[in-house]
Amino acid sequence: MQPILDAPKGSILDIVARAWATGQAAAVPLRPTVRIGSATLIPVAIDNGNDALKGGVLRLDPSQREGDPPRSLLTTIRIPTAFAEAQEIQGARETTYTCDGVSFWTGETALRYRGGSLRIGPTRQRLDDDRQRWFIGAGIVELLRTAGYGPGEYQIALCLAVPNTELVIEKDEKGVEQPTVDIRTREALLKHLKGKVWQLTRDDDDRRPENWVIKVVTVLPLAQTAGTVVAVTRAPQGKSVIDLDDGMRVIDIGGGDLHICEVTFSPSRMINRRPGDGTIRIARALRNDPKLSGLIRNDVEAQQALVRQQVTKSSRKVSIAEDVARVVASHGQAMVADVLGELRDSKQFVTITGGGVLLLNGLLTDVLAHEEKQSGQDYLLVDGPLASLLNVIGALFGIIFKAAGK
Amino acid sequence: MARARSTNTPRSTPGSAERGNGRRASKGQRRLFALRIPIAEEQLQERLRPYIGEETDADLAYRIWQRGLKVALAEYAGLGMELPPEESEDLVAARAAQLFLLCLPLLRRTGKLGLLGLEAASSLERPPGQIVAEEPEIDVTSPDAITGLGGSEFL
Repeated sequence: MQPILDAPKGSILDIVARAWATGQAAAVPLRPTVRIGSATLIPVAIDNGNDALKGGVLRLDPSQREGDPPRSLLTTIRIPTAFAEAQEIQGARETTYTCDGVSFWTGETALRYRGGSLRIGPTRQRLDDDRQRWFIGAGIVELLRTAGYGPGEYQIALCLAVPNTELVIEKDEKGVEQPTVDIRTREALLKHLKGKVWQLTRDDDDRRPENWVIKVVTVLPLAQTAGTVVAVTRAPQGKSVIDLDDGMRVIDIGGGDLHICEVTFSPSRMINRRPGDGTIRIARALRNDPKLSGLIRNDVEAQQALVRQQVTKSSRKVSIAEDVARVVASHGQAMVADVLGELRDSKQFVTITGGGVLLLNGLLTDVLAHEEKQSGQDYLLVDGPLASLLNVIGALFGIIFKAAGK
Repeated sequence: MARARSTNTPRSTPGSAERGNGRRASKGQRRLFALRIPIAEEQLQERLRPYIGEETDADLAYRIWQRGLKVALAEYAGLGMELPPEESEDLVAARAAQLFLLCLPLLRRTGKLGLLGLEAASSLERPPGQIVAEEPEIDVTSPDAITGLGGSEFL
């Protein structure tokens, strides 16, 4: 369940947290499409993390009445970064995608059939892998489907959250220094995503194959952490809701990386540091725990075992809650120490977010309770399901705002 | 009635679709005949090229042909044409509806929704020339804020 947060009033984060806390979809006063040039496109945001792909999209509120101002509902998904080629199954069918003649499973389904992790690393290395691109295409279909879109052909404007470390400072056409993606990432996005057309068939136990065509008309790369900044500081229609003269420090505890990003708004700067691995360091400790020897095969299984607190042994689901608690207590302390150091050291407002918050929450809240700094005033701990989805939600609004300036 | 009869009698024989060398055939694909098209239509196709984004003439023609096929399927399924087992009326209708949705902004702007004969069409229409902004007002400072966060340009 999503707790209510000390988020700035009226911010995207505040609105989503309040809606989710009451079990409702977040509604925003926006159309679900953007105009770029002469094209009307569906804005889609993807944060293709090491542990999971997160996606966000808007859908026109079906309860909206004629003449009402536009209102859309936010849909998000999270799919573990696991991939397996599909096998023939007798009996109930699993959700299967087919693209370029290859049938495959993703996410939870792939994990059930001992699927493997996908390549991790810089964007260019990941996108160079066919399986990664099929995975992203299938993820977009699953996102649109979850939002209520039917099978068909869609033209999208894709906002891709890229690692902060892939940003560089360059002068724009007016000679102003701005953060932008580095040349290698940019080339990879142009080669693999810009103009990409996925023709996918989705099949499940309903045995009614769905044909989906997803065309990426344009791509907006955005630093992963930028999503958090947008969601914390802006309202759904883009208005600033908090004055942070000295910017914000974001501590993003991700699956692969622990990122620190110092953002200033005037002039625009992003300073990124990577003090160490994200929750993968705890996941690997769990995988290598002698008590669980042989039960966890790879990193993605280890990350899922951490979240679910169970593994499969001889066809039985076995709780490993005690083992997870033990490993988090020992190996999580180092991460908590990193986070506390960054919080204490900062003269900026600090937002602590990322999927790792869920894992470290017990440890984090205990130590934060003894800090001089005040929640809501000096820092914000983004907890609950929003922790892992905040970047992609902010990225979705980021592309909508950016399109308004076209 | 003449159109309904035509759905029961294909206009070309199956063999005619395999002549010519319009597309390179690979495993699981069939060759299509080369098309003779008027210059004016070729020029229209060129205008579509940047938006459809296919690299070769054959791929571009195929994408346009594929859209036409979806509409034709919906048209004749509506008239009673038997669909192959892997298709269904729901599926064909859903695909046609998606194509139709893509045309809605133009139909709205030009006041042509009424031509579709939909019951609610008249209330959805706006008079020609009265173009309403597609997007609700977004704060003017927000695009620059995104630029400052690394979202400098659409690729």
